[in-house]
Order: sequence, then structure tokens, then C-alpha cells
Amino acid sequence: MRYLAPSLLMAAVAAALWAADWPMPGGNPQRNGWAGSERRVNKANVGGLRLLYKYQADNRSQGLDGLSTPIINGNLITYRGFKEMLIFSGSSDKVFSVDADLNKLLWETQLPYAATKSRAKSPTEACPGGLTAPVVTDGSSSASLQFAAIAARTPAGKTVRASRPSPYFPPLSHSLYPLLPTTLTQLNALYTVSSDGYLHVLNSSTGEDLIPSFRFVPPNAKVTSLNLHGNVVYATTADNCDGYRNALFAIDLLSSQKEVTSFVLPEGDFAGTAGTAIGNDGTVYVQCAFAPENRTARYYDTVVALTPKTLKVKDYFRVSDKAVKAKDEMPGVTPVVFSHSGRDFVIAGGRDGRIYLLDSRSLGGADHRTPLFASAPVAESSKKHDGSGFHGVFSTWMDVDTGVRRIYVPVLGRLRSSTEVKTSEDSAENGAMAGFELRGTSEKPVLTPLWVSRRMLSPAPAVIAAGMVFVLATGDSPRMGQKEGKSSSVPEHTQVAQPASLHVFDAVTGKELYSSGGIAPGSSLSGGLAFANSRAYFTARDNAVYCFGIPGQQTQLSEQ
Amino acid sequence: MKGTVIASSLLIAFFCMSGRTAEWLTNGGDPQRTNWQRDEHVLTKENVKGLKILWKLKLDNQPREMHSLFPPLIVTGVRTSGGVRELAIEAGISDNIYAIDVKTGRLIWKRHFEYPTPREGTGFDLGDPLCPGGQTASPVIGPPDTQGRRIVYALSGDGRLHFLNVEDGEEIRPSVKFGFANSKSYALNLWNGVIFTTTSQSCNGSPNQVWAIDVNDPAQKVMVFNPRSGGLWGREGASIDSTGTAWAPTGDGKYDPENYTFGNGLIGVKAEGNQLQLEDWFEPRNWFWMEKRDLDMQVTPAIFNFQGQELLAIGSKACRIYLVDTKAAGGEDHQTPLAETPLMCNEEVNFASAGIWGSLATWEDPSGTRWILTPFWGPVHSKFTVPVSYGAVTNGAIVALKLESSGGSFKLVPSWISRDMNRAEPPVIANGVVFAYGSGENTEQAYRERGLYDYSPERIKNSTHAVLYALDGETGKELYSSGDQITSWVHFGGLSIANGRVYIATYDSTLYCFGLQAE
Repeated sequence: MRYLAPSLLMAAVAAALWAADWPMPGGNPQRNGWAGSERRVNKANVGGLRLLYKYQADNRSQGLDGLSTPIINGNLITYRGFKEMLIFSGSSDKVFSVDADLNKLLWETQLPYAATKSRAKSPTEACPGGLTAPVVTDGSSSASLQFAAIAARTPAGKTVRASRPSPYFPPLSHSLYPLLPTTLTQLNALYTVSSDGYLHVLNSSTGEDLIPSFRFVPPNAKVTSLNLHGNVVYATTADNCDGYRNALFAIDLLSSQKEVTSFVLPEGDFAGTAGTAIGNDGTVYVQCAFAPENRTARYYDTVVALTPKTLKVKDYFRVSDKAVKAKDEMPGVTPVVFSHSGRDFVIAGGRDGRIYLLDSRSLGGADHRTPLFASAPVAESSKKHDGSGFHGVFSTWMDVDTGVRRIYVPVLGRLRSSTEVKTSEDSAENGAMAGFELRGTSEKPVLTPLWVSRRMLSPAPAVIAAGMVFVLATGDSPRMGQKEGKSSSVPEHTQVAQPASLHVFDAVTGKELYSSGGIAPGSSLSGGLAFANSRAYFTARDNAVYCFGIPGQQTQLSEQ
Repeated sequence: MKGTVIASSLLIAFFCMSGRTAEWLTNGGDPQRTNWQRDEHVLTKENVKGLKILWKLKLDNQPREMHSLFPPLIVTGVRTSGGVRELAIEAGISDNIYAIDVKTGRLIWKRHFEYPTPREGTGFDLGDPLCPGGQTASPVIGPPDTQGRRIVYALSGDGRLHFLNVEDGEEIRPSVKFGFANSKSYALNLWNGVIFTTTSQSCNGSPNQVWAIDVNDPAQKVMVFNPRSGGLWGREGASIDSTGTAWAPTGDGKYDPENYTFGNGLIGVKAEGNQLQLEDWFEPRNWFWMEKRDLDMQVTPAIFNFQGQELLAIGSKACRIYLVDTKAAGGEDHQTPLAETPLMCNEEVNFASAGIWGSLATWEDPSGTRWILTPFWGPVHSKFTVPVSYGAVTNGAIVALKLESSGGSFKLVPSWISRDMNRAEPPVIANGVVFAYGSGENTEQAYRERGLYDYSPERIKNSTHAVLYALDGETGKELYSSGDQITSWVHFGGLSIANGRVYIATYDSTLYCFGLQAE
């Protein structure tokens, strides 16, 4: 028998096989932004990241909107084989599925416009019309069990045991059988809301409706994000488009009547780009943005905990007694949820520039104003609509080797000069990513500043993978309006946009490990990164998806 | 036509006088699994168009899941109560062995293995085509023993190896335990008294590994080698080279040689000192990709000599053929083949209904050209170029490659691709004619509306019928097609050829014998 030379063993022993998902913005219903199973890209090789491919979608931009933030189904057994699917929607009411390994279109679906109310005619910066929210599917970026189980079996179809004849073998839309709690999850259904306000539950293998679509939100609403928990789909709307108040909507797909429940905001928006975060018990967390000074609105700049499905207020944490005025609008962040010691904690960012840690058992204590921890002010407040402040969603992960939890905060504009965060010389003029470490106890946690990245124009929420922080500098203008408060036109907005770039930082030290330089037309500030299986994805204004990875790990692209 | 019949009759007469008879004693025709019938003298390129069904015999074997009958073994000069006969030994999934007089199509004897119902545990599930239970391994026939008897070695569904007298089907010695009951064992192979098989699917908890037993070992020790990942599901089991090393593909799995893990590759193991020892291995560089897409290394390799060197060809569902040296498989790093083809099919990168399944075939023509043939399922790859073709290929085909070498380097040169065949299966070459068939089997394992759903009743319902083809070995031109004469389909079957007869067995437990009318 011949033995393998030790030097060759290094090359021969490949990393363990994983096929992770990125099923929704933030990677999971908790929006933690953690790609927990990444193993092949590491600090030593991440410098080799390159643009692997660009997929040009057949989509027409509307206003500032083009393609949504993509999602990844890491391993789907379809009638066309095992596929890692890159899925995204387009403003033209389209949904696309691309073979993420090979950059080949698998299917493209044109969703119909079924509402009686006509389509929005003139896209504006705030209300572009069209399909606006990313597609979502069930799962978590931190779980790789699906493929691990499949990979363990030999050969095809072994572990995934053939079951009894399924009532869903005929098209679900033709089936007389009721949906089972597990059916849609097992079928890896995709969820999207078309511009007519209809919720579509799509077959991930084909892009066709699994069940008939039904009205979910008002037509021409601007749906900012979807979320999913236990067959309940949630959607948030923004900017009061087409005259409708912003609201959080929920629908239980297993309910016979498909009744839609809602939590309507009297004024203002939901903070951040992800709309909702969902706790492990199904509690829905939102942060309501602002209210006019002269009106009574109970929840302004307030983190609200809502019951699943029914959307009743369970609890809330009020950042400040002072109402945030529309003219001082700040972008804000969607809350993020993490578990520790058997319970959920919520991280939120106030419009006062502070980071708050909340205990899900009692968000703000008896007075609804007492967090577990409040940081010193980190971000500047927005002035004259310059958009300064927290943006998007925070990201968090736990280093499984040390048990240390860290949090990453995208900031637009300057950081507070008084902040305790250690700033680099080049930081924060047009935005930056700031890292924090969670110390103390679960009863008395403390956030300690770690690092601040170099200057980046409008960073999107971070993705954490293999001890690194991946950041898309969108190149978008953070400005939320002209100085006098008047909205910018679409051309005015795009004129000041800059190319997007991808950056990777050491999660502990903040050292920059990779920078793509400006490599794509600007990305939307409402967009972000998707990351799964050693590849990072984002969409840009040219209606293309950009995929980054290490070419030596992606030889299938050249071998096919 | 009349001239052809006369010429055929003369050929048969000459062949009979010469006394040279062909046999088919194991899957693939020989331990090397070449699928080359070297001793065929009756069927020729000229007369094969006159093939007819000489007889067909419906047997009482009950299919299990999609499995039914295996390729028959052909043995000549068998003394029976009715005289010396040429017999087809036909194995059935329901623990049946039949002996059939090939001249008359009459059943001579039948053996049914009786045993208590094994425990139905892990890996045994009604409707699952992967673990049918019963006798899943095609038997093998050994050379005459000291008493001149030919022995049929057969592995029954209870995991016992039987030794049957080919003359009457009687057990000539007690059976021995050689594996798990209701495991998924693949075709037996025999080398110097050592029987080999491989297992996959972990049916009924059986480990996926190479198994061997020396039939002359008084201790009857069962030897195994486990690659620690994957499943060894080459249709024709292991191939055996000139040193007695058994080569088997390991199926979808992980590769980590430092930890003795050899999934998605090819391993060579040898019986040494009552143990199976790993001799060598080959691993495609893109095993990671293959595992991700479930493209298994799962084709039984073909072993042959070429210019004084013993070589091995193997393929996978990815639809690429690799050529390796049996003395140094994959070179220093075990990952460098002597040659490899481009992708020939499976552009969709599908795990079912595409790629190479089963085994390969190889032969040397009178001019000394070495040919390697592969079947595949599904459409031809859009970038695969081949000089000779016969129309669009969407369901499957046979590809013929010529092996060329120069200065120590090798090339697998595509020469022809056959007409379209509905799930082309491993061919057999006989006297310059390539016999091939489209199985007609429904091979879908996943559906638009359902995703993964590998369910026997669904596949059975959607299967059609097999078609036998004869092709010119040098050009691929179609010389014969059985059309719709075969009324059922084939799963995990195969062709057997000897002495002017071509055999194929179908799901409905019917054995077809094709031959020339003149006979």
C-alpha cells in the first residue's frame, strides 16, 4: 500500500462539509446576522476573496428599488437535483432562483397583479411601488443540520426516508387536504409579497404558487421586510405609501380563514431594515420610530413586544420620554434577539445614540424605561435629515471557543466624540462598523467597546462568519432628505451614490482582512449581505447579484 | 435475408464443430467487469439485424420494490438428468435461483431459500426502492471443483452464502453466514476461491463495506474493509485486478485519508492473511462538489491491460470517466488520474435520472484499439463533442472512447455516441457488436411538487419497457432494435451474452432470450 506524503495530506484533507442556509435578512428570525456554520473561509485565507460571478437579472428598477437582499437555501433536493439556491426578488414583481454554485438561472417567476386598485404610477424615493421586500423561507443561518443529515446518508435519498404516499403529491393548490404544521417547512416554501399586497407561498423548486395567493397587505404598500415563525408570516410596511398607515401584519397560514391581524402605527415607521425580530418563544419585537411632537402616540422610539399571531402588546421599553420629531428623523435599527441562560435578550438602538440591552422577561422593568444596560451615546443624532445614527440591524454572535458574545453596530455619519469606542484614525466620517463585547452577568451585563472600522459609506448590517465580520459598504447616501426637509428625488439620491465595496474585519481586533475596493454600482441602503457556504452575496443598483468567494474553493465554476 | 440466414447457419455449424463455447459466469462477464464476451462467434455485425426472441420464460419470482431478476449466468456442459446442457442460472430478488435450458427455454430446476423472516429494522421500509430485502446480489459460478462440479455461489436474503450444485441446485455444503440479513449486497465476484461483495444503503443496519470470504477457509472467516464513509453501490460489485485486489467505488461520502476515510472515491482492497487490507485508492479532486450535489462515485470499474499496463476505468453520476493505473491509483497524491474525460452528460448536475449508472465496458478490436464504453442517463452535455453521433440524445446513450497513449501520457478520445436510449444501461460487447439497452425504468427520485420522493410504487407506475439495441462497435451505428417486443422494464438488471444468445430479464420476472432465427 502506498501512503500519502504528509505534505500532500494538508491539501487532501478538506474541511468538513456544510451546507448552511441564509433564509432571510439577518440570517434568521432573530436577525442575529451570524453564519454559524462557516468553516472553509477563515482569517488565513479570506484575503483571497474575489468576485466569483455576477448574475444579471431581468428586472426593471422602480425608484431606488431594484433587487432585494438575497437569501440562500443551502441544499434543496429538487426534481432537477441537489441545488444550493440563491433566491431574490425584483421590483418588477419577479422572483428569481439561481444555482448559487454555478451561476445558472433555475427559475424566474413573474407574479401577477391581482388587486382591484391600480398599480402605483410614479415611483418616488420613499414609495417606489413594485415588490419591495426580500423573499424569506424557514430556517436559520446558524443551523446546518438539514444538509449534515443528508450528507451522512448514502447514496441518494437514504436518510431522508421515503414516506408514505403524501396528500401533497398532487399540487398543493389542487389538494383537498388541509395544510399540516410541517408541510410548508418540509417543502422549503418561499414567501413573498407582490406589489398588489398578496402573499405568495412559492414552491422553491419551481417558483410556482404552492397554495393560492391571498391578500395580505394593502396594494402598493412598501413592505420592508418579512419574517416567519411557526407558519405565521409577518410583514412590516413603511413610508405610508399610497395613503396607508404603516403597520405590522401577521397571518397564520394554517388558519382556515386566513385572517390578517395587524399592529398599526399612528405615525412613523418601524425602525431598521428588518422590521421584526422574533424571539424563541414566538414573541415579535419591533421598534417604533417617531411621532410628531404634538400628537399622542404611545409607542415612539419604543421597543415593543407583541404576541405571536394576534399582535397584542405584551410589553415595551421606551427609550425616551421625548418624542422624536419627524424633522430630526433617524434611520434606527430593528431589534435583535439572542438567547442566554435559557431566556431571550433583546438588543436595541435608541435614537439617542445609545445601545440598550433588554431582558425579554421584562423589557424595561416596571416603568418600561429601565433597561438591563444602556451604553454611553455611540452615534450622533441625525441633523437636517443627514441620516446620522444607527442603521439597519445590529449583529451578534457568541464565540463558541470562549463563550464571549460580541455585537456589531452599523453607524451612519459620525460617531459621538464622547464615545468610549476606540476609533481608528480613519473612522466614522461617512459611517463605520463598531464592535462591542458583552461582559458582566446576565443580570448585570455590560457592553465594552472593542473597535471601530475604517470609514465606510453607509455600511449595511454586518454578517459574522468564522470569527470575521463581513460588511457591505453600500455606497448609498445616508441622507434621508434635503436639508430643509424636502424629500430628494430619485436622481438626486442616486447622483451622490458611490460604488459598493465588501470589507472583512477580524471580529475581535477589528483588523481589516479584506477589502474589495469599489466593485459594484452602489447598493441600496435598505439592502445587505447574505452569506452561506463560503460565499457572500449582495445586490446592486444595476439589477445584478454579486457573489464573492475564494476561487480555489469554487472549482465547479470552471469545471462545468 | 436468405443469404444472411444461410451464412448464420454456416457460422453456427463451424462454431459447433470448433467446440469453443462461451460462458457468462459472473456479472460483467469476468472478474474484471469488462462486459466483453470474448468467445462470441455466432452473432456478427452482419447477422445481428436478424435477432428475434427465441423464447421468453415467465418465472414465479415475486418482485420486491423495483427489483426482480438479475442478469443470468450462462454455464455450459452441465450434466443434468436430461443430458448435458447449457444453462442460464437466473437469480431473483425473492430468494430464488432458477436453472433454464437455454435451447428450449425450459425450467430445469429451481431453488428457493427458506429462512425465518429476518428482523426488519433500519433501512427496510415498504416503498423504499433502496432497500428491497431478499437476495440482492447476483450470484457467481466457480470453476469445476475436484469432483468436476460447478458451484453456484449465492447470497440469500438472510445473509448466508450458499453453495449450489449447478447440475441440480442442491446444496453441496452447508451455507455460511456472509453478511446481514436484508442488507443491500451487490454482485458477487470470485477470485482464487475468495468471494467478494460490497454493501450500501445501510439496509437493515448493515455497514457499507467490502466483504470477502475464502470458501476454502475452514474457519469461514468473513473479512471486511470499511471505508468509513459512503456506500459501495457499484451495480456489479467490485472488480478484481490481476493481483487479486478488489476495486470498488465508495459512493457519496467524505474524504479524509488521514483518518482512513475514503468516501466518494475508489478503494482497492486485498485479502491478505485472512484480512482485507487497503492496497490503494483514488479520489477525484472535486469530491467535495460531488458530495454536495450527490454525484456519487458509484460505477463498478472495468479493468484491462493496455500496452503491458493494467489500467482501470471508472465513472460517476457527474458523468466523467477517469483512467487510473492499478499499480498506483491516482498517482502520488491519489488524486491524479492518468486521464479523464470532459463531462459527457448531466449538465443539470442532477443526482437522479442523469449521469453514469451501473458499470462500464471495455474491449480491444482486431486492430488493437482499446475501447472504453459508458452508458449514461439523461441528455448529453451541450459542450461534449464527439465525431460520430446519431441524433439528439435526451434520455441516455452509450459513448465509446478510444484509449490513446503517447510518451507515457494517456487520452480518452470520444469516438461515437449512440442513438438516444431511454436510460441506457451498461453494454456488452460481443464479436465487435455492442449490445445495449434502454431500461425503460422510471428513475425519478424527486418531483416538482413534492421534492424528494423516491417511492417504488410511483416509479413502477411510470416505468415503460426496455429496448435492446445492437450497435456497430466501431461506429456506433444501430444494427438492431427490439422495438416494443420487450413489454416490461429493467431495474438493476443487465445483459448476458453467450453462444449467439442475448439475455435480458425484466421487472415482471420474465427472462427474454434473443438469438438468430436460424438456430
